[in-house]
Amino acid sequence: MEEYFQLILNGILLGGLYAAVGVGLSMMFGIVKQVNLAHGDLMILASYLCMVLITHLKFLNLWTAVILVVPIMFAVGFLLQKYIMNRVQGMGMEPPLIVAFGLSIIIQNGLMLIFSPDSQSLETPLAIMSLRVTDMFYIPAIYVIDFLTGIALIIFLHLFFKYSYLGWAIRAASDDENTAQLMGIDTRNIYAWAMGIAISSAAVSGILIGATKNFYPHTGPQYLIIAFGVTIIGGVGSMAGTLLGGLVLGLAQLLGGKIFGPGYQLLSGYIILLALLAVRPQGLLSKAGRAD
Amino acid sequence: MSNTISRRRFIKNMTIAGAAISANGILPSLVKNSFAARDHILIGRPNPTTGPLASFGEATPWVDDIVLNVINQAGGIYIKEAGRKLPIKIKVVDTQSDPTKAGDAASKLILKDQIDLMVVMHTPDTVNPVAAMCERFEMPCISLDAPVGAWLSGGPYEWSYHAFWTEDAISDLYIGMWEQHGDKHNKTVGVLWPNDPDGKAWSPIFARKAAAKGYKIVDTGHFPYHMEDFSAIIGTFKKQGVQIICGTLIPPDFITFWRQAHQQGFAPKMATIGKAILFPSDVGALGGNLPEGLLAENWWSPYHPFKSSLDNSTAKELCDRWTKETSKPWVGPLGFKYAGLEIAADALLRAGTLEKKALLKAIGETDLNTIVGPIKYNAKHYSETPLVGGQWVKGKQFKWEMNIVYNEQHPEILKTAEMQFPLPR
Repeated sequence: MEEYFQLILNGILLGGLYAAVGVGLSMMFGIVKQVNLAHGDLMILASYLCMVLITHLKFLNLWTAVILVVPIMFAVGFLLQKYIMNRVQGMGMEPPLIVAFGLSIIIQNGLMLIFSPDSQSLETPLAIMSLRVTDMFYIPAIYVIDFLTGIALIIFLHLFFKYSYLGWAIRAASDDENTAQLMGIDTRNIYAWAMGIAISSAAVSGILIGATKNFYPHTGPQYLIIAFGVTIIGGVGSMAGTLLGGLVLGLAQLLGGKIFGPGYQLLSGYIILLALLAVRPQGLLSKAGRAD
Repeated sequence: MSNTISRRRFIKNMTIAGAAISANGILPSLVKNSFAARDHILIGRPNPTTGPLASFGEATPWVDDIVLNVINQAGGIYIKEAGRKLPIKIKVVDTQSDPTKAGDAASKLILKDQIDLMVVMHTPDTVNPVAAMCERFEMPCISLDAPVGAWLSGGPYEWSYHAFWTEDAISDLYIGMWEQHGDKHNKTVGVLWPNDPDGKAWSPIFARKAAAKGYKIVDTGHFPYHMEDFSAIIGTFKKQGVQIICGTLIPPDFITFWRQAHQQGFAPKMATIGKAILFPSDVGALGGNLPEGLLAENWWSPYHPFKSSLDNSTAKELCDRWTKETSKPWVGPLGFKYAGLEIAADALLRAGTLEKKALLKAIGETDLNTIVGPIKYNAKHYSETPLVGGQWVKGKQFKWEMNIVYNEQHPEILKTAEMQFPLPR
């Protein structure tokens, strides 16, 4: 029984990390109706940015570097939307998809040219620290940080969309672009803000991933798939849903891996995803009526 | 996105496929007679330049330049069709670490670039599809750096010759290393076999040989790449009292496993890990003191007592030059990249022609002392290269360096240190 404690704890903590990975994608998907295939690569871009800052600015450590990485990635996201994505916005689903796909290839190859294909990680002593409860049950420090950061990120975004003017404007622009424009909202600019925020969240998760695991220039797509899973399980565009999606995916993987054997660990997560698509295609917490 | 295939597109695709199938019959004969008045010998070199295998392919252009300089300085190699010496040129194409794309790249090299010879290496994902194309288009192919069993699974081969170690050799090596301290552990081995050609080829051999030596194997089953969490496996290992870890994993998966093992208080006494800890960058990415004492297979190092057949330079000289010019530590693939071109140059020299059958025969008759050791192909078209045991320890020049700590099967390669045992907690 004791070993199940470890699995359930790890599943929940991993779920928090998954939620942080997925929240930016879910937001752009649900609100701007744009599938950002470069989400994972932008995450990894942030990991590399953080690595460069730590190596060159000696006064920074992993956690203070966040203060620089997040605004820089916000600017990247903002400019990306304003000058590239907005040009193809409104031309249907495919053009932004293809632009994002191209961007993904450019980021991966650019990173490889600069940093070589070598494995990297953001070193922190926390990566192997843990609190021993019993011989079969340890609480790993880095995953606790991942989880808490994920939760904080999602609560922040939830409050932001609920209470800030900008959050209202973003939701208004996505609900009805024309009416929002009539009300004096510059929707194009609003989308750029939304992308900036989404990529900031990707930056946070990129740093968490970099500290928890290792990364290469081509690691991005691996996390894009997780982000998709989280988004679809939780419900597109719902912040609380993203958190729930992350937890469901994390727990399904770990318990599935234990019950059916490790060969079925990843599969169990996706079987839950398929099952949910069959019975509740709009996701766990999406408003049913809005699935258009 | 619409995934439906329209009738028109379907017909179009089928027509192309049909044309391709019928063209296959004609093309090889076209290729064979295609010695145009080219002023050089062209070697095709599919290489994993990008993608997950990129660390294997990284040094390819660097080594190619060095070898070509040596060969072409003397004007190249005498080819009787041209009536004079021709310099060698190499065309490197990126496989993107993808077997399908590697096959495509190989067929383009053969059909479009009309190469004279194929040289390919670095893992079954690169070697196998390229060798298959070479069989199909009757192109002589020299391959290296993919475990022999995995390579043979794509055979039998007529046009390819291969050099690397066998799965038998790696199991003898790892079990031999466990046996060195056989009285200090409980002979319980936890294995990590992913669901890939290596994992599938290694698991039955290890199960059989380890059992014969009285080891108990704890196997939780094959698992896919990119496992985000190993808690279930670690829990089982702890429960079963595992003291030795053995596996062949991709680097990111081993990093996740090894970090989680430490997080969850699982501390084996020995770890023999294939593939994941070949490169210093992957080892460094483990972080902290985690690499200390890990054991791995070593297929080539600056300590190997072999020399280049081209200019007598030693393995150490090649590694030192790499470190001097790139500021990076040596890696095993350097030697195999070099040896591949040594074999090619030697075969071309003895054949004296670009005629495919004659060239193939010359490759098959290779008996050469290369920088990775002696190469002489057997009836199954492969030549075994030596394998010794390496251990990662804190280094002097670089953060982590590999010592040779076990050489029972190949005493000609000297140990550089004694094995540390057990792993630090």
